[in-house]
Amino acid sequence: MSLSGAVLPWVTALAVAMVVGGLIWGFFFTPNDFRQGATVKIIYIHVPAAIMGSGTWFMMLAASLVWVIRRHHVSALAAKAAAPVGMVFTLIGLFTGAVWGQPMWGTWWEWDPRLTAFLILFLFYLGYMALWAAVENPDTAADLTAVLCLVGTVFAVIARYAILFWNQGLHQGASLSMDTEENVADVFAYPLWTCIIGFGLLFICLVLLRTRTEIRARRLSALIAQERMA
Amino acid sequence: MKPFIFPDLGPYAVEVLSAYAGTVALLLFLVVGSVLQGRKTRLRLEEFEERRIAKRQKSTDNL
Repeated sequence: MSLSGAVLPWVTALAVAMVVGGLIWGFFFTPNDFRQGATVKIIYIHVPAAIMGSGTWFMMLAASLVWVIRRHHVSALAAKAAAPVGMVFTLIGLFTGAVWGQPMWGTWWEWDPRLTAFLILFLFYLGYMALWAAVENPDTAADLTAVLCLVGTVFAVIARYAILFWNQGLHQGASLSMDTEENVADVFAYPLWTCIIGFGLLFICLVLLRTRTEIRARRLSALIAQERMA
Repeated sequence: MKPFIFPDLGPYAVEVLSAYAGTVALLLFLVVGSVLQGRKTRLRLEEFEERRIAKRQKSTDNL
């Protein structure tokens, strides 16, 4: 708790600076795309949010596995704390994708493999949070949600790599790639990288904050139970 | 120094601005919610621990 308390203000300051700086850079100081026009500015929120939406689930998977194997309580609480953060990032990805898709593809929604996997992942986040809330015993809740997390990982993988698995659907390939043909132009890539790092730091800062809250809540309920027993 | 000019969003102004507004609203909701929940839990825990210490102190004094 003391280490996370010391790190949190610095990570928060860096996250705010990079997210705000990256978005201002992208929105105000980059040109419109010759084909997509001004809608290209949505890339600075859509891509980082989608990366964090699926990335959060992988972090939850790692934390859940630590719980299952080592029974480390903080890891279960960290997975629980990360779920609403991942859910909001996934929702942002879905929302901005729909808003971007309408003028570019002519439709708000398409049952494309990547889009569908993201929608299912969003529903998994809701189910995961509901399961934590529904089970009274925290250890049982951690066990059950760890299993749910393992199952949901299938959709997190599909959401991220659907383009590689099935080369079909409306969604294009990776915006950032080592292949210069596929990669977006540097003028878009630099602010995009700033936003991706900023969203990553924002995720770390929110998960730290929420995990600290979960630890305190667990201590409080343990103390209340102890007092009732006395 | 060049004067500040709001970018020309052309026919896509509604889409771009609504995407940004929606994102900012969702992020604010998440951040404010997390901070408020954290503060509420911390205060409840501190209050409970203080009450517990006072109670223990009182019972020691009675002895």
